[in-house]
Amino acid sequence: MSSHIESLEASTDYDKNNPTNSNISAPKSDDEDAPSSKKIEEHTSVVAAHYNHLKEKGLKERFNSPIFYLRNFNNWVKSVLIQEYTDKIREKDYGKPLKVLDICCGKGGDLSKWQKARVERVIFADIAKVSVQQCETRYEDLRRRCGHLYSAEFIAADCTKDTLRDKYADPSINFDIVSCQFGFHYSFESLIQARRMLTNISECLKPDGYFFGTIPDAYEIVSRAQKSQNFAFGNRIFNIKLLFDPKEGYPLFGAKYDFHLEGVVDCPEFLVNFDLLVKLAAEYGLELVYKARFSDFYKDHTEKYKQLLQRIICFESYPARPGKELIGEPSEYEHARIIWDEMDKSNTRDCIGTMSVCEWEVATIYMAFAFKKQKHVWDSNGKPSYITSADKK
Amino acid sequence: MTAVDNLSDKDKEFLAECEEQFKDRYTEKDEEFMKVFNAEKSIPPIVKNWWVPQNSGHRNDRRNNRHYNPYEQSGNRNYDRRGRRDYHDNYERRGNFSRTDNYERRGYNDYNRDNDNRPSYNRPYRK
Repeated sequence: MSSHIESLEASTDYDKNNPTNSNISAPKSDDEDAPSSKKIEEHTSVVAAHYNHLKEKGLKERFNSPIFYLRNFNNWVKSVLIQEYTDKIREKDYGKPLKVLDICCGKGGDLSKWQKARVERVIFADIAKVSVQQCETRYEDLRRRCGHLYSAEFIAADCTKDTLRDKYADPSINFDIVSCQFGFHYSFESLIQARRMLTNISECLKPDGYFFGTIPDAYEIVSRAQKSQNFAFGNRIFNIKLLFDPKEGYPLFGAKYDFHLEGVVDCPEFLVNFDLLVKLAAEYGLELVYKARFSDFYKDHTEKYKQLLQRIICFESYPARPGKELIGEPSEYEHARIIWDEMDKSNTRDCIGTMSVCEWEVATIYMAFAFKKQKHVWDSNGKPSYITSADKK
Repeated sequence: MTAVDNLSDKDKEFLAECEEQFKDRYTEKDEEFMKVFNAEKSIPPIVKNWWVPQNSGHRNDRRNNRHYNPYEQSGNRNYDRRGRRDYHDNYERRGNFSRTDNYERRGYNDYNRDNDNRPSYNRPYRK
């Protein structure tokens, strides 16, 4: 499931540290889930096949990636989300052993993020069997290297069609956190799939637990598409094209578009109308507590997580360091040049950290969100009736 | 695209309700959408005093920000295991810093990038 970005991120995570295992770690692209009922099967297999067949890329290739900083930035976003929400849970119960469902885990781009968050158990699930296997291998490798590590379980399943709960070693498990990074939008191929996905996400999530994730923002995509010719837009590293005719309206589900991201993903995806998601999620006891497009997410968290930005090299040094070149064309750094020209350069070591416009155009397609699981009471039909924060007031 | 035929009556009802509730989606009447549509294009972030470790990379960023970052190794004293390790790590780092050790030491690897891990577009110095 995890789609492009995850790839982006995943790559960040592991490989670099582990050059010797570059064959394993290269989380280049990811996997994801795919959806739907009839033809869906076709789509599902397309997606699974896509991720299953992605070649692991070597280190060298990865670091030459035109989306190096974008990837790192995506990793930053995910790290921040994980940190923020594990912290929130621990605020209430400090020593609590946290259980996590990493749904659409891909090759396990967040393996070490969970380690850093000191969780106790993680179930990794993804539609692409090969990705799940790689995730497991990477987990074993990480465990060998660091000794102690959370316990884990690996499940290859179409999370938009299968009941995950039946596959857990302990079907009575309850999660504190469900994380779905760059994958949830695949479930919006159909209402049935979106429902299955939300069931999988919500049914084992504890009251007051969090479901958070990252998806492409439909408003951002549609607005750029409407300003483009033929509802297609992009730059040197990505292209998006709507695969339906907007003149006939925007389907609530199955609003398919093609997303090509350099070296990572080339695969159909589905618009997630966020208001619709919020409405649907409410049926599963999930109440929205946070959402932000990546540009705002960055602003919201940059102060607190500034060091992490540097550490994982989310931005490119501008101007280029001696003997190096910028990753993009000079025209992609006009914003930085203007600032640079105005800067006092008394300290010769100083430079600016930024991202090429092309990479930023991709980053800003995405949004992050978090839902909180509501408490419930049972109604007379034996169905859960969720207590929303509005009810409490 | 949606497999409408397979839907239960309840889901058909739900969809009909959504079609009505969100009928203005992605149009001028969709306020939230128009905010995005009319927003100025986002400019890439700029961080002044950006400093990426050159050679022995993490030395610097690590020490300077110990208490800032939840991810920082030394910040997690509460966790014995980790605390001990970190101590060891730091100790070791000051002496014989070896990259191999660094890789194997713990799961922090994802964030420990040396210069070696940076894009190697033009790195004549590495010849």
